[in-house]
Amino acid sequence: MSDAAALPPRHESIGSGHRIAIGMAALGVAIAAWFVCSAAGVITGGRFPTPSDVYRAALQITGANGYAGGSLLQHVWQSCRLVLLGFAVAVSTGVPVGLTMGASRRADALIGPVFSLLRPIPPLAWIPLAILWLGLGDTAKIFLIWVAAFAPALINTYVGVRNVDPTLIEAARVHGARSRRMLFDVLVPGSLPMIFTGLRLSLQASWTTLVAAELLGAFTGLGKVLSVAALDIYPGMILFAMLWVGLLGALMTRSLEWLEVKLLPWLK
Amino acid sequence: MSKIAFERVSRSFVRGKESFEALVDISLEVQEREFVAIVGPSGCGKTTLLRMVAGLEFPSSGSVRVANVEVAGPGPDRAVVFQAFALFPWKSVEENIGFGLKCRGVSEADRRPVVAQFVELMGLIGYENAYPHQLSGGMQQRVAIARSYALDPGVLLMDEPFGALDAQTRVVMQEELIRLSRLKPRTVLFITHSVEEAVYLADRVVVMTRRPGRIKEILDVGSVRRSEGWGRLEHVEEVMDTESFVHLRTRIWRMLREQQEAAAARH
Amino acid sequence: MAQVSVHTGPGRKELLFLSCAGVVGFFAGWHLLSVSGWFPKQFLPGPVAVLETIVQLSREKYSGDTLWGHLAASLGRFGVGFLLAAAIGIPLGLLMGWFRWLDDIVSPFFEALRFVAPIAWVPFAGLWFGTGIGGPTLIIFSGAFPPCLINAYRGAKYVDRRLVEAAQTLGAGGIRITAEVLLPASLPSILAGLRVSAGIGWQSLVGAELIVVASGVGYMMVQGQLNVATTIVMAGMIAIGLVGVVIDFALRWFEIRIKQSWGR
Repeated sequence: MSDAAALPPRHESIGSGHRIAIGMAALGVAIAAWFVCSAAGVITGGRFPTPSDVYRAALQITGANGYAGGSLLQHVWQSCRLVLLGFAVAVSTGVPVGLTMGASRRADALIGPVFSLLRPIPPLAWIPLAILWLGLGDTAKIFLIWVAAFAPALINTYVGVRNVDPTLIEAARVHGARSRRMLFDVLVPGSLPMIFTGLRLSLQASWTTLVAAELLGAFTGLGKVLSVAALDIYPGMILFAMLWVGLLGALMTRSLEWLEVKLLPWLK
Repeated sequence: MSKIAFERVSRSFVRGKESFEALVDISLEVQEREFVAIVGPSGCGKTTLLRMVAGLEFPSSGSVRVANVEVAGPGPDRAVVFQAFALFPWKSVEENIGFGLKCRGVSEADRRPVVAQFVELMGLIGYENAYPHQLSGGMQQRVAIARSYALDPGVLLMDEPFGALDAQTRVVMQEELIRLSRLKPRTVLFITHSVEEAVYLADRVVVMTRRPGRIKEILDVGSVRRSEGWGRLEHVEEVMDTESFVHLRTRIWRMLREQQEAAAARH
Repeated sequence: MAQVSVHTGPGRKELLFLSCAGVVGFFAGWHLLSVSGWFPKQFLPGPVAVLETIVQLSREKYSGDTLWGHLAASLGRFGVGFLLAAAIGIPLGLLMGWFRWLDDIVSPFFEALRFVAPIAWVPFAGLWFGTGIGGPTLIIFSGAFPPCLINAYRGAKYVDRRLVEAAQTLGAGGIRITAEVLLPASLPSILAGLRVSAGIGWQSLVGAELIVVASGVGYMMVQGQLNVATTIVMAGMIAIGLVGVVIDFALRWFEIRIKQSWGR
C-alpha cells in the first residue's frame, strides 16, 4: 500500500473543481452502465428497473390518472405536509422542554428519568400501537413523527444549554442577570448551534418515520406509493418513488443547513 | 565534504491565484557534527528549510543534499524532533522510543538494551511504561529526543523543540541538549525563535530575513564560545550573563529589529 | 454546568425525590388511565397487564415462538446487517479518508443514497430477497452503513499529520504507518461510529420486521396489532427498548476497554 496520501505531493494539489468533475464522471459512468446493461438485456426489469421502466412510471404517476390514489404532486404534497406539521409540533414541544430541563435541575430530575425510560423504544416500534389507537389517518402519522422527532430536539437543546460556557454565565451573573434574562439573553443564544443540530436530526427522523408509517398504512403519500408499487411488483415505480424520497429528504436537510448559516453567521 | 548542503534553494507556492515566494536563493553548508541554529522572523521559511532536509517538503528550484545525496524523502538518517512532540499517544514511552528500531527490523530482544540506554540517558527511568498523556511537556519532549537519538541518525533536525515548554523547563532542556551533544555529537539543524537559545546552543547562527526568506548573516558563535570559555560555566544563566554572550545576542536582536521596522515602514 | 438556580439550589435529596416522583407518577398515571374507563380496555392496558404478558410470552408461544425466540431471530438479523455494515463501511471509510481519489469517486454515490431512508428499501428488499434474511439485512445495512463509513472517514482524514511525518522520519514504510499510526489514530472515531451505527441499525430492524418477515419481535408486534392484543404490542416495545439499551451499553463497555488498553 502506498502512503501517497500521507506524503505531501510534489505537485500542487488538484483544485476542488477537478475533484467534483471526478465525482460527476463516476456517477456518469454508473448511469451509462445502467443504460447499457438494460439495452443489452442484463437488466430485464424483473428485479431491477430499466431506464425506460422508470420513465414509464414517471409518466404514469404524473399523468391524468396518477398512481396509488393520486398524482405525484398530491403524494409529495401529502408527505411533505405531514412531515412539516409533525416536525413543527415536535420542535415546539421538544425545544422548550429541553430548555427547561437544561436550565432547571429540578425539571431535569422530574422529567429526565421518565424520558430515559421511554427513549430506547425505537419510533418505528410505536407504529403498531399508533395504528391501534389512531388508525391510518393524518393524526396517527403526526403522532408518530412527534414520537420520533421529539427526542433529538429535546436532547440537543438540553445539551446545548448545559454546555454554554460557564464563564459567560458568571459574567452575566456579575452583571446582575436574573433567571428570565439569563435564559433569553445567554442560554438560548449560547445553545443555538446545538439546537440547530437537534432540528436537523429531528427533521431527518420526521422524514424517515413518515415514510415508514405511510408504507405500513396510509391513504396517500410517497410511502403509500412505495407499498403499492411493491405489491404490484412494479420496480420502475419503486425506484421512482425512492428517488423522490431521497430528493425531498436531501432538500429539507440542505434547506435547514442554509437557514442555519443565515441565522448563525458568527459560527462560520 | 559537508553533511548538509543547500545549493541555491528557492521555494515558492501557490495559494489560490497568487504565488508566494517563501525562500529565495538559499545557499548554506553544514559540516559534519556542526550545530547550526536558524533564527528569523515568523514566516521567513526556516521551518521549510528544515523540512526540506527531512524530505517532507521539496524545493521549487535548487537542491538539498545530505552526505552528497539529494534528498528524496523522509528517512531515519535524518531524525526530526517536532515542536508538538508528535509522540504516538497509544504507545508507551518505551514503545515510542523503540519505534524507529522496530521499523528497521531490530528484534525486541535487541531493542530493549538500546531503549534502556536512552531511557537512562534522558532521565526517564521509572516512566518506561507510562503513556504520553501522563507526562509533563518537558518529559514528553525528552521522550521525543530519545526516540530520535535511538536511531543513531546522521543528522538531527529540531524544529523549535522547546517552543511548547514553559520558561524554566526550557532552560533545563537547553542544558540537557548541551550535555547530550557532548556525549553523542552529531550534525544538528536547530530552528528557534529565541535568539538566546540559538547563541547558547549553536556553533553557527544563521539569521534570516522576512519573507521572502534570504540569509541575512551567519555568525560564528562557536569560536566565541571557545575563546571565552563558556563551556566551563555550569549554568545557562551564567553563560547568558557574560559580556561576549550579550554582545552577540544584541547584535542579532538588532538585525531582527531592523527587519521589523523596515517591514512596518513599508506599510 | 449551565444551570441557573437560586443561590442555595435544590439539594440532592430533593432531586432524588423528584426523580422517583416522576417515575412513580408516570406509572401511576398510566395505571389510573387504564382503569378509568375513558379508554376501552383493549386499547390501554395497564402496566400490570403488560408485565403479565411479558412473563406469559416468555413461556408460551405467540405467532410461532416465545418472546425469547423472537428476540433471538431479531438479534440474528441485526447481527448480520450490522457486521456487514461495519466490515464494509469501516475499511472503505478509512481508505476514502487516506486516498482522495477514492473519496472523489465514491462520495457522489454515497451522498445520493444517504438520504434515502432505510425503510424506503423495503419494497426492493422484498422483491429481491423475498422473506429470506437478505431483505432485513439490506434494510439494516442501509441504516447502519453511513455512520460506520463517515466516522471511519473522519478518523482517517483528520489524523494528526505530524504523527505520520514522525513515523516517516523514523523510517516507517507504508504498511507500518497504516497499521501502527493511521489505524490507532482513527480508532476513537471508529468506535463512536459503531455505537451510532448499532443504534440506527437496531431501529431499522424493527422497521424491516414490521413487513417482510415471518418471525422476530417486530413480526410479533404486527400480529399483536392485527389481533388487537395491545399487551403483546407493548410487550414487544419494551423488549425492543431493553435490548437496544443492552447493545448500547455493551458497545460502550467495549469502547472503554479498548481505550484503556491502548493507553488513552
